[in-house]
Amino acid sequence: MTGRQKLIGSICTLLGASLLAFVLGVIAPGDPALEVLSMNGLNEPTEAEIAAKREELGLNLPIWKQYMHWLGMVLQGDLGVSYITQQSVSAELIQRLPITLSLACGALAFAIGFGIPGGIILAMFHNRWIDYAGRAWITIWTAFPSFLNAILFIIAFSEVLHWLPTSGYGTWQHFIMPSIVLGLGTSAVLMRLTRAAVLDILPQQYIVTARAKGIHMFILMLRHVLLNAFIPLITVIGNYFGGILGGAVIAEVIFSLPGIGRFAVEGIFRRDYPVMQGYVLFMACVYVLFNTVVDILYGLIHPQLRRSEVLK
Amino acid sequence: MKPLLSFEHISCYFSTSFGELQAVRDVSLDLYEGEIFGLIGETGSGKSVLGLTALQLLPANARVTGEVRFENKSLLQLSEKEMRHVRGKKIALIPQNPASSLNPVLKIRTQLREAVRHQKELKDKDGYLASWLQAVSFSYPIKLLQSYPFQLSGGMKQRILTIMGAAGQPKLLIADEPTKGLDAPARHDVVEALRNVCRQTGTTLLVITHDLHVAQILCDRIGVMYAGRLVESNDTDSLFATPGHPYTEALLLARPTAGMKPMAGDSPNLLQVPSGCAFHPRCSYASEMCVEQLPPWTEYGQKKYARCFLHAPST
Amino acid sequence: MIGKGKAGAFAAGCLGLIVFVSLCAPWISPYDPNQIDMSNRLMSLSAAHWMGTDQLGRDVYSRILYGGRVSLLLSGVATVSTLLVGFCIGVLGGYFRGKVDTCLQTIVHIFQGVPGLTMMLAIVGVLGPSLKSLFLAIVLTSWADFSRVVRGEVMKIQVEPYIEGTRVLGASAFYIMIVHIIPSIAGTVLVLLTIRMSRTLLMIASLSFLGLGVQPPTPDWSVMLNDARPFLRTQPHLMLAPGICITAVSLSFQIIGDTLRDRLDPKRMQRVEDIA
Repeated sequence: MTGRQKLIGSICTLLGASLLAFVLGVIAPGDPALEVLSMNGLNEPTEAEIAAKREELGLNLPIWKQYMHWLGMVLQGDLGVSYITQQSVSAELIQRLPITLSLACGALAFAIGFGIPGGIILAMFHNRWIDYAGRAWITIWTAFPSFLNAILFIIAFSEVLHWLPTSGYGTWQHFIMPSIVLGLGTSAVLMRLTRAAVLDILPQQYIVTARAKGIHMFILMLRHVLLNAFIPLITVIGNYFGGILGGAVIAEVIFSLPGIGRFAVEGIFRRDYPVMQGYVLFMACVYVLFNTVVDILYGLIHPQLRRSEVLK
Repeated sequence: MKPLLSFEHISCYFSTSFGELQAVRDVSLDLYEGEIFGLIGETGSGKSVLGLTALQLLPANARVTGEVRFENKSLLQLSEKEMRHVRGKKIALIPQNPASSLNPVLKIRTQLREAVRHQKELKDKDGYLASWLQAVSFSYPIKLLQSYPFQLSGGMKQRILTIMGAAGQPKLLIADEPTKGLDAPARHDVVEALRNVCRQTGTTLLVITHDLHVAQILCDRIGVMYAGRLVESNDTDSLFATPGHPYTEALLLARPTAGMKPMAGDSPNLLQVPSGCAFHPRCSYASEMCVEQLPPWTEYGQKKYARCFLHAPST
Repeated sequence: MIGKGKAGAFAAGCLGLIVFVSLCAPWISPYDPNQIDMSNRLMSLSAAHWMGTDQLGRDVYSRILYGGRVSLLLSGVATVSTLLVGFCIGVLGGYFRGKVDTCLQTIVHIFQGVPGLTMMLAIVGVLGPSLKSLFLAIVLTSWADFSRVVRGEVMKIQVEPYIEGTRVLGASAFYIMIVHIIPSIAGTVLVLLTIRMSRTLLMIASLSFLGLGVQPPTPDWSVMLNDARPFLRTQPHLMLAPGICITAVSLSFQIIGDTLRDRLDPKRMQRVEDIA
């Protein structure tokens, strides 16, 4: 696919996500007109007042016109007003976004930093005891519930060892445990994939060629093995980032981090639908943006995608 | 004259899921400085494995016995680290299968520079590489250095691999099936490239091939392998004129130019190699003795060796 | 690989036992799992209450026995439903290609454009926490992945010479689908199914843990975990018991899936790796 097709694809996905978010608002129980009126202090409005408000909010228009109107507002950065805090939803979310992003990036960094070297080590010790132990480790962490994991971590590192703060937000230490808990499952999956990719590459003919040149083991692993292993890995890293972003909610709730996931969960309990819509849109944007970056990286590593010119 | 490289009683075993398989059986062979030696035989005869033993590049399930001497040093005793200083610098490899022998994600330049990495005195490495590329008739060497393997044809890749072996100026170059899978013009290019490289620099070349034509136009001497054993060693002209082993004779008769007379029987199964002379089930000269005993390695003329009872002194 | 088959058999046995116990819970549990007894709150392990009692005096052992029923049934039904939806759409897209495929792929991309748990949260949030909305949320968030894997498999098989040969012989699309394509992707789908079971269970548990999944007072492992949070220091077994159960089931499915993957053609399983 060319860059342009990719871009169009990303825009389509975002439009689709906005449609999903819009549909959420439509199927949500309750009358938005009522909600807005009660927000303005009118707790028992008359029929006429409700009808007037419905007209004002455009709720009597055909559904597709409502969507276009809503989309127009969204594109201007207006996601509506939270029913509860009575603040602009986009402002509330933007204020909390950095926390969620730091958490997700920390988790991703842990997953990559731990998973990929781990996978290489397992592949180098193929069918030795390290490999067997590593594979058991992988199976356990891919199947372990992250909330349970979080609780065990809190017991171990905060309450018994007193190494890290239990919960809350303020310093970088507050992000260590949530990031590790959030990234552990992904790191296990990456470890398995890296191991498989490296085992696939080691018997390749070009590795023999490289060894025949007498280059150092370190360069061999870094330049010849790892660069090729990245090709299958980088596509799945994009997919797994979705899991991390979604899973961030749990870490935010358990570790009391004021990110957008926790805000959304609070919104759900208070039936604050604009917040939920905003949450879905924000997550979709971050996810699509991340995957676009991954696509660019993929093109940088994979020369075939970068230039298709054939020499004569 | 002292040999540059000698294989002394080399045997090579692979442990597979079907049991242990012996790919090379007690092969002894000397290579002299400056010569082009060809090793021919069909697929599975052990010729490539023998070549790779010199570089210790066999897969992990391989076990080698015997001795490889290079410049009077024993190679099989060297550690992986010491071996790294031999590979590429003293003995270089031109690997088989050009399609998969170049790293797909690295530029040609990066991969070629790895081959000349030890030539510290060389200032302009790219220029040096470009001159090599020109020598094997590439017209745009600079552009070529910047390209990736997938942009090149099979013949171009094979010539690149030839340069990759030769540019490090090794004493010995091992070319493993350098013309496999190439069409006639590309094959011609590669053979020319190999010949020029060796004649200009005086590099010794061990060519492993199943292509008799390539062996004939390129090599000074030729060894023939069958089922892991060396069955004949001869200079090129007399091998093609008067082959010393029935297997060589059958190979020559199977050539298109000689009427494509097919060889009788099937290729040997390496897990169950026939007793005595492994070629006896397919040999028209075979007798009782060939079934029971292994024929001795016999020098039957000036530098002409064969492992066949037809030349054994007692018969 | 040595031991791999044994691990698979052990996991299958473990899972079978848990399913059996859950099915038989009404007959083997010593107490009513919802029987509140405020005079016996937060009791430690004893002969009368093997695993003690919770904050409302309910017998933890009985609740554990009952606790798998809802989660297991829900994740089983939801995963199989997801599979059916994803399978049909994947086969349609992969086989017919062209406009049908482009259309379906666009929808798949849209659904994959939102992180799974985010979408589940939103759906459950809007529809209100109930088993029905959990089921809907699971199916809506997972069908796209399934269909993508199935589509990829179908496309790969379609270009195999033997399928082309059958087509040349005049076989109908339906015949090729039933006789050739469905059996050859069955292995992949089976692996996907077991691994997805593990993930679905974890997702239900996560949502329940947040208070958005299975609702109290249903005796469910994840509900129990959530209930036990305030008593983490004083009564750790309240949390440990359901935690072990959830992990055991999830791990069993994962191991069974891994074993199947190793048994079946590993190369073909690459696509499963991508999403599972």
